[in-house]
Amino acid sequence: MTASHLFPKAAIRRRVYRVLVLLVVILAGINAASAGEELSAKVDALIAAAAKDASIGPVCDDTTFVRRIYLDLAGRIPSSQEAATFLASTQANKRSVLIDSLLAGPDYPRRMRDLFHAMLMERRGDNAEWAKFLETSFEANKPWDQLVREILDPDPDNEAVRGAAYFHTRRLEKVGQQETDYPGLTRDIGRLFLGVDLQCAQCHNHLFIDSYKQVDFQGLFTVYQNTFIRTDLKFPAVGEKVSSKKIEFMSVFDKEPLTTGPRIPFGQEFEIPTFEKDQEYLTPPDRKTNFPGVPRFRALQVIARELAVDSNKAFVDNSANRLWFVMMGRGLVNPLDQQHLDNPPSHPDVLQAVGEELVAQKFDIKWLLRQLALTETYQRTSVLPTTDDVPSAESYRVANEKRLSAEQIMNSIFIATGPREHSGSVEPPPAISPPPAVETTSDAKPAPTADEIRAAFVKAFGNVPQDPEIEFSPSLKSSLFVLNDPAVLDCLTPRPGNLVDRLMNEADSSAVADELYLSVLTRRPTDEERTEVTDYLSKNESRRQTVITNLAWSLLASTEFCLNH
Amino acid sequence: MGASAGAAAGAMGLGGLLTPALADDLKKKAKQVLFIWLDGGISQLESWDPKPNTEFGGPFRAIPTSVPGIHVSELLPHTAKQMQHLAIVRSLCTQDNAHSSGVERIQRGDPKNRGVVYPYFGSAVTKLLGPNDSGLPPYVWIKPLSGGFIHKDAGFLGPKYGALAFGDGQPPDNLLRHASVSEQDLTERAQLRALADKRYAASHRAGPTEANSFVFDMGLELMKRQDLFDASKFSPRDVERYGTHDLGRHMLVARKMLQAGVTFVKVNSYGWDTHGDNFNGSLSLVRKFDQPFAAMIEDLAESGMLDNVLVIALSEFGRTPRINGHLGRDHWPEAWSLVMAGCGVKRGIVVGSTSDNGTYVTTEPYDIGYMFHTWFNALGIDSLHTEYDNNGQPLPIAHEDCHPVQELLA
Amino acid sequence: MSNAPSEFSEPQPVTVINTERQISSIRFSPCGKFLFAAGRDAKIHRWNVSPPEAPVDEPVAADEQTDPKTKKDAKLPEPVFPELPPLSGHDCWVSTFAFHPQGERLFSADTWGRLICWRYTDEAPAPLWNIADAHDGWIRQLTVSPDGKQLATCGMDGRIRIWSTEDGTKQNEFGAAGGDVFSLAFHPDGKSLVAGDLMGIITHWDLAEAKSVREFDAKIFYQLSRIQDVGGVRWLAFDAEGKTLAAAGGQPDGGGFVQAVPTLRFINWADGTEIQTLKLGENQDGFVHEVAFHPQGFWIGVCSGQPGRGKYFLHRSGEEQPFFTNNKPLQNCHSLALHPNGARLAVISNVGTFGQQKSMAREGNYPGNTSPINLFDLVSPTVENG
Repeated sequence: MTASHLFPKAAIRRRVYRVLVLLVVILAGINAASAGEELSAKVDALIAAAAKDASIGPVCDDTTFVRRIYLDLAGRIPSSQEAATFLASTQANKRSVLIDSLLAGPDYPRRMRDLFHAMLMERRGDNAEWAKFLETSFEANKPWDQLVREILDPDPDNEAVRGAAYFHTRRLEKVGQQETDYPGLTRDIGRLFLGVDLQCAQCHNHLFIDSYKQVDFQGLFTVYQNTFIRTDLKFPAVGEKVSSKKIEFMSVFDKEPLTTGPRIPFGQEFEIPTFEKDQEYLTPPDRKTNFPGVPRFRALQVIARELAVDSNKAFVDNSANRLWFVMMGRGLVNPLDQQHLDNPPSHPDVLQAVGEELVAQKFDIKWLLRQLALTETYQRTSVLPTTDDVPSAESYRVANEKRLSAEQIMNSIFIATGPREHSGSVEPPPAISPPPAVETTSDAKPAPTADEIRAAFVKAFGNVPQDPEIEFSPSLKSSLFVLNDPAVLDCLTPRPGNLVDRLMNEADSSAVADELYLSVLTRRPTDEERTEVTDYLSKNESRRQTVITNLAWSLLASTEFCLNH
Repeated sequence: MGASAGAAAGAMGLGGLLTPALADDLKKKAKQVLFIWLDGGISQLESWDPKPNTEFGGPFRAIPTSVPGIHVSELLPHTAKQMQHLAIVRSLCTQDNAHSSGVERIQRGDPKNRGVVYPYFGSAVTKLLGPNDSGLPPYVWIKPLSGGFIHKDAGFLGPKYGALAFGDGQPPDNLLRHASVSEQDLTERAQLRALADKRYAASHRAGPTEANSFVFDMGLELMKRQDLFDASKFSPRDVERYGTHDLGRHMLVARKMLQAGVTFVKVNSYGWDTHGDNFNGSLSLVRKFDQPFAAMIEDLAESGMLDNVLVIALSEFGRTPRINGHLGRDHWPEAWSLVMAGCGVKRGIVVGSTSDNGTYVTTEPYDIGYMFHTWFNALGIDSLHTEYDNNGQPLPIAHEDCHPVQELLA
Repeated sequence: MSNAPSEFSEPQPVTVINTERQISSIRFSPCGKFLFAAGRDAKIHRWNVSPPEAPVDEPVAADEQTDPKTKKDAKLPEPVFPELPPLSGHDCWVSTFAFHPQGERLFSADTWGRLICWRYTDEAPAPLWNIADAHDGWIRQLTVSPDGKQLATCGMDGRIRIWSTEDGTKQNEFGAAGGDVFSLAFHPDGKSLVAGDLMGIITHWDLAEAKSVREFDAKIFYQLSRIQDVGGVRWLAFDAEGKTLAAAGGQPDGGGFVQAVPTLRFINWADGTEIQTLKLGENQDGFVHEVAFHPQGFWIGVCSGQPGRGKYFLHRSGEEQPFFTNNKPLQNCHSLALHPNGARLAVISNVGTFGQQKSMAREGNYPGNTSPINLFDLVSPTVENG
């Protein structure tokens, strides 16, 4: 059917054409202006479509939302004052206002620093320069691709970002008498920035993942085995040797010798340019200062340029997937480093949409996190519809409970047990002077520093090094820590204005229950819980402080507290 | 105990379906393992396979044991009296003569390379036997120096199957109830927390609260069992019989752990790598193993526990017949020995033999894979047909070219 | 020999006697004609070391003293010491032996506890007396009293026993079970016996009263490393007049492998004070296994440590360092023998492979290590060569 068929009269045809053009323009305008809204709405539509007829949970209530969003964007629960303010507000769009204010707030860069430190370093160690790199990057809302490039090819001359080299240098450190773990570094580049674990492909094409070939590993490996820790600088810095020849390898199965130069997995090989003798260095080495020299051709520069770009599908998918995981508690590709044909995303269309928008927004992290926070999928309740119907985690029919990191738990314990109003950064409770009336020996240890306390929390709640922190996995270590460690118990010692102090000064038992639950669990107590508190208090008038402390402790130790639900 | 068994079973994936009757049944048959690791390489010629008055036999005599026809080194006088409970394997022949790689390979059963890190025997047993109802950690490691949570043992099984190490037999950090918390507080706190978790579980997925309750229950249980660590509570007779040296003390803690129902107890002793002064070294070391080992066997046998406890003592290899210039022996995986006893194992036997001068195995040589098969079967696990499931990758639990040694199995 | 101490130049190698098995201990007979070696092959080996005069057909002209082919000084032919049939009667390692000071008889002990007396001058010596269970297990040291009437033994059973050299009757016993005694020495005046044990205690036993009268602290020679008791006072020896007691061993720095710094301590016998504690190397150098006092007024000692480490040395007590140390190629020196004439020295070392290589045992190829006996002349302008 042609236009002339539909509209025989030319004049009408011209008019229709004009209207159509106008419509197209208007629609395009709407599309352009609402690209943002469209992603969050699009995500919800796709999730709902995939769920078909199965029931989808409603959006969560305000108490759940305020706790969830503070934990995700500020790395802590809200103080009871902050929670009360939000709950009392009658503003129509208060949720999106809160999202924006947290994204713009001072806790956001610290939260993202902690989150990506754990994700990228996997508890291998700490470094102040690395932490500074992360924190300043998130403060400035640096685009994700740029941040990754700064990690992949660290710049020792830029003080603000040179700490990014710690990603390499920590992995290049020798452990005891073992060889430098170049394969481990290679593997982590693939896992963390491309979402592929090429470990098995070191020695042969992956046995059951067709898409991982040995050359994918070796092409990356040839780059990293040429790197080393620079010893001439006091901050983390990585150097590269002159790349000379291709790497030779063969499968342990078919023993056919192959070679490759540097290449991105699933990508093209790069030619190593040849240089005249004595021309290989841009800046030659200097033995006196231990300066290793800067080669003219640097493979790390090539990797950074070619890997962390919007045209690299694996990179885009992985970026989208990991940011999705941060908000939704589960990767669309799960595990996060196992993307391949036989392990497709649970919602390929969602991953595609998120990736496309991320690229269109030039990898603006805050933009994406905001979009995801605005979805119903994110804001869905985690309460099961009925005990018979337990939706699978990948369906998102109810929200997935998320593990809290050691840092989130620590911050939240301090907030929960601290003053009503929170200001500034989250700190451990101040030392009490004189020390509380507990038997101490004359040579009692000095009070631990904030760093030591943080390290104790990480030791108790963090995974072992190199074990990604994905699932909720409480351990004997963490339970004994909560039961007996002074770092936790000290928070329950009354100090002017802190939780226990406030509760002790509240005569009305019902009000005690309210304040307790709001401060620790960011909600109101149920009637049953309220009764339990008032009964417990009334039966133990002479032990009031102990009872209050026991109540507070039990909520801190509960599953509800140490999950983001 | 039943409730926590259910919770424990649930946390480990058995779906909380344990009926009380079934729980009792399991309890009766609960198998345990005592795994004694003599790190560095105990000399088989100065212990289980003496060759007195031969070129490489060294200075010591062989002594008869409680089993006619079986002799051990004179350095094992107490153990010799317990021979009727023991099975000695003299025909081990393994691949690796280096400590750093050898220790790992032996303790992981040296399986075929599948690109995964296999679990140590302790983690494997913890996984395959499943939870017990002791309320205590299933895999405990008693070792000198530092303790803590040792996850690397678990390999691909994941950190949950790692070992809880008691450094010098001492409890882990934060095991002692903090001075500011009374026993009553502890009880009330535990009840309140359990109640809070029950409420939360009523409207959420079961997994997280089960996992959380499991570790809190275990922590509280361990806190109640100070008697396991507090040496001042050990009987003086036990302390004397086992010896006050490190290995003696640690073996006594190990016995208490076994009595408390821990599934897998590993005890490490270090310093057996006698490249120099091997004979004076063995004289000291072997005797210090002999004393607590014999006491342990005697105690387990007398109490009937030996029927359900599999006892194994070994190193990563043996020592060379050739005596070097420093009067030492070097590493010898070619022909060495181990000893085992207890659950599922024949008693009072020797399996395998070496040549007259001890330099090679004359009967069928056994790599460590054969031992893993044998041990699993002794514990009632069909090693030939049981597999791990590593995210879809099926993996044999022991080297597939090896098989259980029938001669050793009761 | 009563020459005044004089300058010694470097001991001159004479020859090497190769052995087929490892050797525990070597001694020259009092007459100087024989060298004996206690073997780990249950035999006591002996060589005739008093060669007939080398036949000299013509004096070598001065201008022909240089070999025209190599331009080196023509050497006198190396002496060859014929081996005599060994003494058989032990069943295991012969660990220690000593001669009767007046000659003729030899006493040997082994690691299973047997003690034998021989007339060593016989062509095919048979035991004169033979005690199978003189000790329970390893007899570590045996020494004869200066007057030849008694011999003392000690060992891993912790006991010290005194025997009649005549007929092997046990005359006395010191010490207690549970200990481990490594070394013994009679004082030259014959009235005292010193014993050194594993734990680093040296005990002075009065023979007449049969009791301990003093203890000297030699704990430097002991360490508890994890569960291993490491070290021990490996050797005790007096100087000629009995004024100085030398205690030898190593200062341990770890068991298993055993790291120890070879150490020698000199003790003033009269008042028990420490004259000198001499460290003779590094951690890998091991123990001083044996020392002997040379009548010229210095000590000779041998050290053995990690494979390839070891030496012998000559030292005057009180000086900061030995005045001579021979390191390579001599390794792992376990025992020494000083010829009665003071001019010849024998030191055993070790030869053979590090045992860890892939075994060829099934093919019958698995040789054990051996202990070559290295002979030196202690050269001095005033000392006659034997």
